[in-house]
Amino acid sequence: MTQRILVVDDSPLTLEVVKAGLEDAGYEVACAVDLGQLEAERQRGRFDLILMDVQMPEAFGDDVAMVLRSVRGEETPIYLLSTRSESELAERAKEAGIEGYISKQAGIPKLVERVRAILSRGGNG
Amino acid sequence: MDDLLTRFLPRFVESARARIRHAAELFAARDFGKLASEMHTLAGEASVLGLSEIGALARDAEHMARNATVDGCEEKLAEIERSIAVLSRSASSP
Repeated sequence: MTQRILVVDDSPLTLEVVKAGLEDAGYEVACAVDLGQLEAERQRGRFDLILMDVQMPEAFGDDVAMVLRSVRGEETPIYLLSTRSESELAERAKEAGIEGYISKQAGIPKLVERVRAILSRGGNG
Repeated sequence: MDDLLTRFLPRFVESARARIRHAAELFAARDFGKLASEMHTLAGEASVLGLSEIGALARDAEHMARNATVDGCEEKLAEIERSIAVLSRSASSP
């Protein structure tokens, strides 16, 4: 069964590139450009992984992730996706109580490689 | 040039040029918050396409804007604009 990934980012171009890269790798991908779309996609079905941008106009992605996890009981693994430094991302992910982060800086091939590793370990890779 | 870059390069160039134009206006207005945000988005778009040089330049500009650093900021924006022009020319050459 195809694994489903939800990508949240306020840049439509980034969303399209990440979606294309993950779809080329065989994943089913849904995108959300804001919190309204994120909620709509969550209600539409379950995902195996959520990738969340950090800096968005409405809120920081790690704050959104923290609410999803601790208030809304979201059990899907959530990873931050950002160009920010790895040390900052590690700290933000830890404080949000989510599984981790993926850096955008290494490009799509590394992102896909990381997603494969994460999903092969049930979301905790 | 890899497949994803080939597919998305024209859109990236168009979008990046618009962001740099907007960034210059934001710098002139000393709106460093929005300038940082614009450069952050550009850094992300460049990075996912593997355009690491432009991504690094945009991150530099983002950091300068976050610190409200006036000196060198315009030059950084000009440097990004030149890199985008070089990328655009290399993509259109046979």
